[in-house]
Order: sequence, then structure tokens, then C-alpha cells
Amino acid sequence: MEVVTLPLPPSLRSKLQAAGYSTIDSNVSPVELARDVCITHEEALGIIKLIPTSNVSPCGTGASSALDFCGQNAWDLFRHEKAKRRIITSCHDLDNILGGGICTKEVTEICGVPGVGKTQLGIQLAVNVQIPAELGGMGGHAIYIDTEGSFMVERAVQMIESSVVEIMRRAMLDPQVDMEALKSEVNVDKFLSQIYYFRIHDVSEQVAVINTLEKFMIEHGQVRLIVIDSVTFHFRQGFEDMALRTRLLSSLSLKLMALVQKHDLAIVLVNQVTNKITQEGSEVVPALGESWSHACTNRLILYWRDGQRFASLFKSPSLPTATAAYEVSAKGITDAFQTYKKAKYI
Amino acid sequence: MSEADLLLTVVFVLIYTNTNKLGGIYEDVRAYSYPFGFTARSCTHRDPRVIGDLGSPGFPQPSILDRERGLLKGVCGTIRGVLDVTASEVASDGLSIGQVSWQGLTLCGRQLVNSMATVTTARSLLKKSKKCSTGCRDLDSFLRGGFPCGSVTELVGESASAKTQLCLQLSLAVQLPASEGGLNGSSLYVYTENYFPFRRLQEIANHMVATRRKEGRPFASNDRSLRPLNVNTLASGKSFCPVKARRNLNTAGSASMVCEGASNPCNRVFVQGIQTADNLLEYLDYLYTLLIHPFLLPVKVIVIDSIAALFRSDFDNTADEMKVRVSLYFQVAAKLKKYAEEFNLAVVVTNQVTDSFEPEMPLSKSLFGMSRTQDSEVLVTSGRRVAPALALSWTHCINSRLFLSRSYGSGDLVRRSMRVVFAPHLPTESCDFEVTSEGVRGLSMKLSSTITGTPPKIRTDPSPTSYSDHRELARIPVTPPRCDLHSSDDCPSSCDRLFEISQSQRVVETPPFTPTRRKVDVIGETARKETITLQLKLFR
Repeated sequence: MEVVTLPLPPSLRSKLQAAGYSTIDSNVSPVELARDVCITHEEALGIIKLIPTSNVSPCGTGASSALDFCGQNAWDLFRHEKAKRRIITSCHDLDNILGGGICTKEVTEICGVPGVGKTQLGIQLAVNVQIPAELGGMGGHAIYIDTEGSFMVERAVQMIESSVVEIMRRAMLDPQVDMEALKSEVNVDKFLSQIYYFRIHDVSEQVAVINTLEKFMIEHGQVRLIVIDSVTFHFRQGFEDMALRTRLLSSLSLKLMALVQKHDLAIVLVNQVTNKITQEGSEVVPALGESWSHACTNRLILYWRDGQRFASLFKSPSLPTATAAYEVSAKGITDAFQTYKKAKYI
Repeated sequence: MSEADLLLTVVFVLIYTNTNKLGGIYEDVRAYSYPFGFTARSCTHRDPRVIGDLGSPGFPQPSILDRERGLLKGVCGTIRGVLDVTASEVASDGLSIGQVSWQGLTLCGRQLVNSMATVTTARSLLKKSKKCSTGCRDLDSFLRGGFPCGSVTELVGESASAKTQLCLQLSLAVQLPASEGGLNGSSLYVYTENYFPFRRLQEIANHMVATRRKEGRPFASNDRSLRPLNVNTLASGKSFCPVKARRNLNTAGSASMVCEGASNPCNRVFVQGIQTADNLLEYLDYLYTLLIHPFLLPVKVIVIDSIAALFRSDFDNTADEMKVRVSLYFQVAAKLKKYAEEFNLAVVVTNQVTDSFEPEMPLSKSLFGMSRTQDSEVLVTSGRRVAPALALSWTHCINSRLFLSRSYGSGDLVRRSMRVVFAPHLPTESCDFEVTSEGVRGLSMKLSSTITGTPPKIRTDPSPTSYSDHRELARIPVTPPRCDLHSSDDCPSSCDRLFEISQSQRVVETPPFTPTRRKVDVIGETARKETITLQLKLFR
């Protein structure tokens, strides 16, 4: 193993190189290493622990360990991205502007005024991620992290009932689908038991849950979506030290990004809006400040105009900014009623 | 000694030696150490009883302690991981490692224990989600069961739009058994405007008790719970003594006129007057002890009447004051939501309205042309546009909002309607209701999404009497006070009980401040005609 590729502090690395080591084998004894390089026994043990013992293929599937120096070529990345499945939002216009739906390995942020449907969209996504793979969905589980208490089980049951009906209807049109197996998997009970729910009461609990998500993902590997409803609620409770708040938020966002890259996940954050006082007056901006804008990969802004709900894709690395109308009905998120009317007159 | 116990003892010792910062930590210890089975004693600076008093009598629920300890063993490594992270992140800020570790341990511990050992799925929430009846069947069906437990509901309306009436009715309806939509619990009523309508509460309670007696159902399901808890069975710490708690709590029944003793439902409504937001936060901290060791029935509803009054007077309009105010909103809301979820109770908050004006020019740089109100639609009451007080930031703190409006229909009849502004589980519908001597009663004819439409058929039979204004409530005939020590004839003028009752009545008699109301234009043909005739009269 090359010494330059090991994640060592620079002082240790320079000591190793000064002693003449350019490669290290994992069989070296720590006593000898300590004596040659003039370091302590514990430091030598630490170095030896970092050397991989087995022949791990360096071009793993998107692994983010420090030893992965080989990387992937763009062609592999392109193929991976084409094959990615997306989580639909049950509204065709909204899916179109998102390029098919919420895609994995990306952090999406949804912000808007209260009452516009952020929680509804979150619950709808948590239900739609469970659509079975043979019908074009992800077939995965969902984690719902609730900081505000806005998750209503009966609303989730309502959405699940209507989506189960829709799934069965589509499955009957498709001859290749095994209806019996599908019936046992697609029912309200099963869907409810595949949404893992966390309730958070404090900033520290929020930090703790995000720290322990890694371990949770190892145990429950089928999770494909994490919805954090209102990542901002506990951060607006009067942090006297704004620098600490910014540090906590940036560490949160780094952990989420790392999580999303390592596992095949999508993370959806729900954000609030706040009034910002500018020279012209007050402006409505997403909460948590400018630095939080870099935490997400995509940003979707929901707002009202003339009694109609709109969603606007504000930030995306690959898609153009676009706006779509949507509606919240008893079934969940649906297409806007006006587009239905327009289609009739045409 | 197991690994977990060693770790905990080390942490405790770290805190104990760091005596300078103990004052602040003990606040958290008192509030958050419960999940680990240590009850916080009366927290003085050097109280040695805090540390590991596991075997002493008076500890409730030893089984939970064992379970927590067992789970702790399993997640000790994870806790250490969290501790390392939080300690290293904030060590540079000068906070002691003991303080941070303890915070990390207690505040995260419960969540970690929950997340690792017992994974909660949405399915297991189904049993837990309950609703508290409002006391009227029509309103309950409109709200799909009532006010949900575990979340904060806000009632918005102008003055005299029946917000307080609905809250009073709710605090009585919560005492009903579960088969009738209640939660078999008591309620806590926090009033902020220096006026609690004792007489009105008693009137509604009398009606409820009378109708239930006629139907042959008792009001309270178990009267055994009305005896106070035995002091010796609980922890001997001073701040947890239930006798002391009782002395500090006022029940609405103590100032009532018709004292029926233990079966008076007003005795299960705890009232407290609060003046500022800081007082409210302190009071909520103090409440934790009552909620854990319930005095009569467990508290299942917390009503805060007019939370707007707490915030409207204390703060100026500068940017710094606004920041402090906004952070207070979130602190209050976080505490209320925590109690709502932990004890599975419903929190109902009342809010006032302010006038809102049509913007003359569109804002130059609003986010994608969002209108200034940022609302789904304009709220109208008494013919004028209003917006809820405590603008956008408070709206983020609540879970659902109901708007109570009044409008003047044909003649002088008041038409009241309740509308869902936003709620996660309700569609945006509206429903009409009326205020009678029995309380708030929904009218079964529902109109959808029109506030200024044709008024519904209003019942013309004279009973029960319908109050169009709370000023009429002040004219309720006052029955002479009866004291329960003597019969009314023999009661001497120097009777203490009579004196108490008359004193409390004196408090109740002061009328609330009501702004003078002017007759405003109502959209509609009749109103226009009235204004035209009025103008003609003036010009003559």
C-alpha cells in the first residue's frame, strides 16, 4: 500500500517517508515500525490498522472511503444515472419538472409557507417509494423524521388506500405481474409498517438521530427515502451563538450528503420560510440563511398564487427551472384541477 | 458494575465536580432525566441525592428502569460515539465537557434507545392517535373526531367570535369517557387576559350534567380518582409533594356558585393566569411535575386562551426585538409540542386577528410573486379583511388552524362559521355554528368554501337562548350564593365560605374590555340598500 494514499496526518506521513517507507505491507510488525520511524507504539498500531488487508476492488459502487482513489469513469456514471429509478409524486406536471420524480443519491429540499402542502408531499413520497419494482417504483421503505408533530397517521392511511387502489388497477392491466404475490405485499398494513417514524423534540435529538441513521441503514437496508419534516423547527429557537448554529447545520448537511452517496437513498428535507428585511421592505426567503442553500442538491419552492398551489424547481444541477401547478386532495397530491378543465375543452 | 453504569457514573462525577455550571444543568436534569428512571430531587447546588439513588423507595416504575438499563448496554457504544462528536464539536466554545456530555446523553439517550431497540413504524402510531371531542356532535364530525392529540391547534378569530366558548366547552368535554369521544382526563386552562369566565363555565357544566342525568349516564366515569394521592407513596422531594401542588393550583370549581362537591366537573379544570411569555415558559417547566404525577385525572387538554396577548405588549418593533420574539414563539411551541406528544394530549391555542390591507403596489422582489398575505385565501370577518396576529413565524409553530368568523346576515342575525385554514388531516371546508346557553352547537347544514353567501336557516324556536355577543352573557341572572357549610337560611353574614364566594364573584363581575363595534358594510343587496338609505337620510 502506498504511503501517500493512506489518510495520515502530515507529520506522520513525513516521518514515514523520511525513514524510507514508500509502501507498507499489512504484515509489518508494529514494534519494528515504531523503532524505525521513531513513533510511539500506539501510533504504529494506528497506521497498520489503516492498511487494507484484503484486496478490495478500488472501483467499488460509489463507496466513499478514503482508500477509494481509483474513481469511476463518466461512462459508468452515465449508465448508473440512466438506470436510476425515481420516486413519483403522483402529480404528472410535478414529475415532469423534476425529470420523472425525486431521484436517489440527491438531497432535495422543499420549502414553502405553512399550509401549502409540504408535509402532504412528504407523506405522499413516503407512500410512493413503496410502489413495487415491477410496476416502475422503488419498492423500498421510508424513514419519516418528524420534528413538528405534523405527521397524521390517518392522512397517511387515506393516501395509502388510494395508492393501493391505483397500484392494483395498473397491475391488472399488466399481464406479467403476479397478482397473488402483489396482493400480499400491497396492502395498507404492509405499507404502514414500512414507514419508520422518529419523533424529535430537541436539537440534540435531531443531531443524534442523523448520527445514528448510518447504523440504522445497515440494519434496515431496504430504506430508500428519508424525509425530515421541518429540519428548521428546532434551529429557530434562539441560538445565542449563530456560529454554533451554522457549524451544526453544516455538519448536518455534510452527514446527509455522505449518507446519500454511500447508500442508494433519496433524502427530502422540508424547510420553512421567513421574512427577510431588505431595503425595499420584507422579502420571503427560505429559512436557515444563505449557507444552508448549499446543503441541498435540488430545491423545490411551493407557493400560492390566486388560490392555486404552484411548485417551482429553483435549483437543480441538471434540470431547467420550471413551474408546475398541483393540488392536494383526499387522495393525496394530484394534478391541478385547471389542467383537467383545459384538457376537456381541447 | 456494568459498562453502562460505569459510563453514567463517570458522567455524573464530571458534572458534580464542575460546580460552577451546575445551576444551569439541573434545569435540564429535572426536565429530562425522567426517561432514565432517576427522579430529580429538589435541585439545590450540592444535593448529593441526585446521583444514582436507584434503590430507594418511592421510585415509581422500577420495571422501566431495568428495561432502560438493558437497552443502554446495547447502545453504549453508539452513545459514546454521539458523546465524542458533540463534545469535540463544541469544546472550543468553553462549555465544559461534563455539561455537553450530560446534555448529549440525556437529550439524545431516549431517542437513541428508541431508535435502536424498538423501531416505531407508522402502523404503531394508529393506536396512539386520539382525538378530543369538542362537546358537540356536529362539530366533531366536521373536525373528523375533534381536536387531535399530539398536535397544536389554533383557533383564530376576532373578539367575540366564540373562541373562548369553544375552549370552555372543550375543557369540559375532555372529561367524558372514551366511548363518547372524550379522553377521560382533566384539562388545564391558561388565560392571559386577566379574565376567566367562571360563571359561563359553570353554566355549560350544569347543562351538560343535567342532560346526562336525564339520559341516565353519569358525567365522570370513575369518581375514585378524585381522592388526592397518598403522599407517602411518592418521592419525598419537596417539589413533588402533591399537597403543595394542590395549593398552587386553582381549579375552576373553587369559585363556582353551585358547589356540588366532588362531582362538579369544574373541579377538573385547572386554571392559571399568565401575563408574559417568560412566565409561560417557567410555568410549563413547573407543569412537568403535574403531568407526570397527575393530581386528579391526568391532564389531557391544555388550552392557552389568547397567546397573542402574551406577545403583543412586551416587544417593540425593532429588528432585534423581533428576533427575540420569534425565538420565543418557537420555544413556547416546542415545549407545548413536546408535552403534547409525550403525554398524548391536545393543545389548543387561541389567537387574535389584525386588519390586513390590500397591497397597493406589488412587492418588487417577492419570491416568485408571492402575495403579501401568502395565504390560500383572504380571511374575512364582520365584513373586513383580517389576518391572524403574530404573523408568519407563529404560523410555522402550529399544526392546524381554524378560523372562526362572524358576519351579519339579513337583519341583525349573526352568522358564525368555522373554517379550516390549514390542517394536515382536514380538507378546507367550513361549517356554521351557534352559541347557545348550552354551549357551542354546530348547525348541521354545511356550506362549502363560501363565507359570504346566503345565510342558513336559523332556528326560530326560543329555547335555548342564543347569545349573539358575550356582553349578553354578563346579563345571566345571578343565583344567590349558597355555601355548603350551612343551609342558606342559617348562614351567618360572617361565614367564611360566603365571603370567599362573594369575593370571587367580585372578580368575575368586572367586564372585559371590548372595543366599540361599528356596523360595517356587508356585501349583499340588503346591506347596500341600507347604506344608501342611510346616506339619503344624512343628506336630507
